[in-house]
Amino acid sequence: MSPYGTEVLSLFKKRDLFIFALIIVLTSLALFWGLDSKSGSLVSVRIRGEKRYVFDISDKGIKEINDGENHLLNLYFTGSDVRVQDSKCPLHLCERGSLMQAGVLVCVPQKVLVSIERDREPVKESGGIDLITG
Amino acid sequence: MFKMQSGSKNQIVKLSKNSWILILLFVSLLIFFSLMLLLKKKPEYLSKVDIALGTTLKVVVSSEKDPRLIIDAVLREFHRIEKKFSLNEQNSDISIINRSKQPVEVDEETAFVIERALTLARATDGAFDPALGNLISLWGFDRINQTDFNPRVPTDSEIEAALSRCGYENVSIEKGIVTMSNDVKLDLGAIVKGYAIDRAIAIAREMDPLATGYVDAGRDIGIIGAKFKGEYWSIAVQDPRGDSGDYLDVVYLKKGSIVTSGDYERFFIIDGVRYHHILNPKTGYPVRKTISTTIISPDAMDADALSTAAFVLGSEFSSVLMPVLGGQGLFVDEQLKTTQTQGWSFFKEKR
Repeated sequence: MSPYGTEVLSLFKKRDLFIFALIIVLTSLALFWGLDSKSGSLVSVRIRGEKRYVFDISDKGIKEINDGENHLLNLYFTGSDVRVQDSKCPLHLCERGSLMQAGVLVCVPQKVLVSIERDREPVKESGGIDLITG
Repeated sequence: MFKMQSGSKNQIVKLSKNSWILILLFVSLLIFFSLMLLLKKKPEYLSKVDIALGTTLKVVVSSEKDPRLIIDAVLREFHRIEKKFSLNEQNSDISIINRSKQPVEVDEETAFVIERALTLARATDGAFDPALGNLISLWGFDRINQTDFNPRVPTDSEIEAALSRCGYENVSIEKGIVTMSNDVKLDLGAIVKGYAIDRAIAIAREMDPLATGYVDAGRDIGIIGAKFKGEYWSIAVQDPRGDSGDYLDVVYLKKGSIVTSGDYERFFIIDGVRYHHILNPKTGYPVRKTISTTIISPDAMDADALSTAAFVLGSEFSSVLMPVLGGQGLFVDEQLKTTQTQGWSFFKEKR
């Protein structure tokens, strides 16, 4: 016979398990999605190196871009992408492609640079294309 | 099972099933997050975009030192080189040399760039020619990034006259003194961007020899260091007549550079005809037999000049000559037929 008595010690109740599980799931989501979701949602417009406009990429419609004196170009926001329209440059090369395709829109003659605001550069950890030449 | 004092009576305390599950869950999560942290320890990349040398510039750097300082230093270097070598800067070394009727003494850096340009001009029999300033100016490609650029096609006689005042044979450099004859003008546009990429890489590595990342100047790329310090960067070659996302090939680099010249980069269209910026030094007109050339080389400066030379020379000759000059290439002709040098396939696999 054991000299000791036996007592079942329950540290947690069953519902605690669900609460803990919920906390863990939410924390994980916040860590891996939540922090990243804020970056990449803003679009900045620099003119001759100076940041002049910031828009939300989810905006819709046309934004007029000017340098304070002259109208330079229009940005057409689709709600998920941006394109250059009606640029005052001679060759309109900046009107080719979209922000999400190219990563950046540039009008070299007018020194206008449209880019997605983010601190970090997303670099693929496996597979896919990192860079394009041509 | 553990022993526990409860009042004056010794008792064996058994944990309930739920408690065991929770403890197990916590231990598992601890291990999971520790592993995640280890995995996430891969270097983080910071980037900045800018406009320099008439193109978009993107610098991507990861460093245990301050990557922002490295990126800013690289951008400053691009702007410094632009000021020193641009034809649009009145006081650039090249503008001063072009204006002068006398030999001009230049510093070590300018002498190095001109000497290398002349060496590559000789090696390619003038297919790459740094002394086409008069011809390029006649077509207006030196002003293509200016808001008042007004494209026009020169007449045959104008082209003939400009060609008579072109040619690297009219340029010499000795002990840092540049001498030019026959009223030729330098235009180093087809080599300076490559030089700037090389300088950018050198500066980044000087500030942190372990820095990794890349410099992308108008899709001409120089590698600062292998991705995540040990992996290859996957680089796609754009299909010159395809849509965005249509690629001809993919190569893998951990170092070196890759540069592409295409007839779709800088051009204007008049009466439905595309006039692009890569001019044939013999005819004075835009080259028609090639539409895209890509060169991989240890130095971006050489890759830059060689991609122009290959464009002028055409696929057949370039596929033999480029490896001799230190470049491996992929060429697309006007029929959209692709040709590659024998060593190109080396870069198609992660070795």
